[in-house]
Amino acid sequence: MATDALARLRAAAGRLLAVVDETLARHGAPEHHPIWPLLRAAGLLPGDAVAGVEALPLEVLRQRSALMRAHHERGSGVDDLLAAPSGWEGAAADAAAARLESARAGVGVLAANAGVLADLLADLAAWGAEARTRLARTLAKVLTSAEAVDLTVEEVEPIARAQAAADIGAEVLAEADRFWAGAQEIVRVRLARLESEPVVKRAAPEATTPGRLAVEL
Amino acid sequence: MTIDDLAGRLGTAADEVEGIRAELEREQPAPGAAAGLPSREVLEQMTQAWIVQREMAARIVEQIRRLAGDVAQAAENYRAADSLDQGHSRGD
Repeated sequence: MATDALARLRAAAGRLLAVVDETLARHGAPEHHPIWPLLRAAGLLPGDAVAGVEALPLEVLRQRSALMRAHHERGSGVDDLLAAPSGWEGAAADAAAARLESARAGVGVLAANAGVLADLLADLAAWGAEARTRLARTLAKVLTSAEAVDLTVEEVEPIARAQAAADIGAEVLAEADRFWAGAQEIVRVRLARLESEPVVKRAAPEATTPGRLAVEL
Repeated sequence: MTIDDLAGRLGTAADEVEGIRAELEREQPAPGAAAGLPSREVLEQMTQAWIVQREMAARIVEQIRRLAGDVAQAAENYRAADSLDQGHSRGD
């Protein structure tokens, strides 16, 4: 993983996030605090949520996008290979042309969907890069907050520590939530563009006349 | 184009789609364990779309190979019938 702002701040914020997680686990959060719906949505404590965002492999997403783009382009080469021969006539030629057309339709959908997946993965990588920067800014903000001081000074009362942990946790979880909400939207919009696979009809074999040149195409 | 040319082209097409299928099998869209509910949902949906793509490629390979086999068989039959005709012509 590249050492971008999030990677650097994650290292710096690691101890604070560990204290936030530990405090929330030990003391909970004040009733009706905005962190509660965020905790339920993520199913994670703030430190783990940051780790989850950081773990999304952006470079791999870019590589897979390039692979899907290559599949999209290879589809047109395959399409050329499946073109029906010109100048052929007769029932067998018609049957062969129909089967070639059916295969071309399948390859066309395969190629089109590879293009959709290429776009999805590229969008997700771009969104992930932006979202990492925003999460890094959030971490920078909470690191220098008064709540961070409350969590590092031992004399602070447990109730005030729980409040501070919940405030920091809510900010971090809200950004992680925004990250995944954006990712889910990209996936939803792009996957809706996938084409359905054409149904391949298998012709019933015809009886062949002895001596007739016939493999049913 | 001869029937043998077509059989050859179909073989090449099947190999090409098989290459795509194999790459889809070898790679994953985003390897790594998901952390939390939203990330799991995103990764599962992408993985599912990837699998659908791979399975579609497998069916297309099978479809093209079946057609290639039938075309090759037709070519074989054609040659057999042709040699039979030539034998009859010589006998006449």
